[in-house]
Amino acid sequence: MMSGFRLVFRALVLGFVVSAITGCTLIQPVQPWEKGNLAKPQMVFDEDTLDRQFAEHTYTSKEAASGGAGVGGGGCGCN
Amino acid sequence: MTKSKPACSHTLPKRDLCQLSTLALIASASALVAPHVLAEAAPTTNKISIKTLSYQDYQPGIDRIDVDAKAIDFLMPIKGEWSIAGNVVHDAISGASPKYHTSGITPMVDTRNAYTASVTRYFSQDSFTAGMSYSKEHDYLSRNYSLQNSLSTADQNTTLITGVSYSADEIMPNSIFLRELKHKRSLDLVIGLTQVVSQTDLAQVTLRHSSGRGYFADQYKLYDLRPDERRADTLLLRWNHYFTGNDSTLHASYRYYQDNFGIKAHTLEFEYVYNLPDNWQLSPVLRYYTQTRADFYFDPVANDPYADADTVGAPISVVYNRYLDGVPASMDQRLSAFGALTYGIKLQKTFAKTWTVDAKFEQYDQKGIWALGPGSPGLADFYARSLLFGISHSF
Repeated sequence: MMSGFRLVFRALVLGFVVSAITGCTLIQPVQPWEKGNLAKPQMVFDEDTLDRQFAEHTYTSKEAASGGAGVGGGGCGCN
Repeated sequence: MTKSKPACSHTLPKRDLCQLSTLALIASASALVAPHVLAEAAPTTNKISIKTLSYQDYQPGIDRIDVDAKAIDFLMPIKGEWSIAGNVVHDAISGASPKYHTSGITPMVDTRNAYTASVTRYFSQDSFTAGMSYSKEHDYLSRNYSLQNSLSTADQNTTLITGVSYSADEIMPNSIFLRELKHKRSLDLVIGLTQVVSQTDLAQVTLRHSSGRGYFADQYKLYDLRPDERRADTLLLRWNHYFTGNDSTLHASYRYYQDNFGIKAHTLEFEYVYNLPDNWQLSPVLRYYTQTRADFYFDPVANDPYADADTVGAPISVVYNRYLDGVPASMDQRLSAFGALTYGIKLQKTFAKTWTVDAKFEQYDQKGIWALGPGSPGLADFYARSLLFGISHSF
């Protein structure tokens, strides 16, 4: 399974590098003036910091899996 | 079975290591550096938020952990190139928790104080964030340090996020199963890509690898022994879609998790943010979670020759022998195989564009039979309900 993760990791980096260098992606680029809806608060990932924090907090106390959205895997006391 | 009958005196201190509160630290660290679209754009307004949480979990006929939490969070831009952010959380924890499986319910009480802070420097196409957090309970101390970079393409349609964090935890002895101070250290690496897919779609993929060494057992659980190393991998996919027809947004996410304990987990979550007239916002939430059991988790048994009145249903013979031999074994419900459903709703109202007030209710139901594969038998169903109130102001 680790190999699968490494594969996805490499694909991610490669995809970014290629798109950055060539300036082209499979996705039609969205222009700055077309981002009005994307800029709305509800389109932000984890807009409500404390809401997400409490949710992660309570989930990790009941489930074995945790994290995923960012770094910060330390500090887990819910053994 | 050559060893003597275990001294199951059950004189565990009236306290449980289910320091769910400490976990807020992880969440706060995650939130601190969670990837956002256009992350390199410096904030332009100050923001301060206050939130309270009333949490109660329970199994049929028995209330377990009760948490009353209060938190304050702030974000402050500085000169358009810097920002500082942080939060303070105080938890009051009380109630009871099982010594094994869903039995041996033992009272506990604790408080926790946690602090996080971060500073971010913004450039034209990237940003750097340095963060740290600290959490203290009477038997658990955690420190976390993190660094993150967010790098965007010139058109800002693609953002690469890389991050690293280091945690150093101390577990203070407070039960008959732990006689000395223990440490736990872990290193997390994260890489993520956020992509503007269309004028109404944002997608994100994030990979995390976590590697930790030290004490992973639970000193308050009966004969609980776990590997001194934990490696976990997480794949998180998120998709936000904006519906122009009714000014609403769907947040969809899927997470895959696996670790060297043998646990594999899937999480599917949906939140639908629906904007109503007069600046009201209604957001129903639905989440399904399932995990396999840890390799060293042991199910309840009908009759174990070494179980007594205080350990009814526990596979004492097996677990105690492994404990003596230093071989991992656990009867912790959190390491069993189960499925869980969360459903809830959030109501939010914005005043004068700068004040926001919100309330959220969530119900969580966990059952062995809801596991995607074979669920662990013999455990009581487990439930939790959360009620959150928040107020936020931008200026």
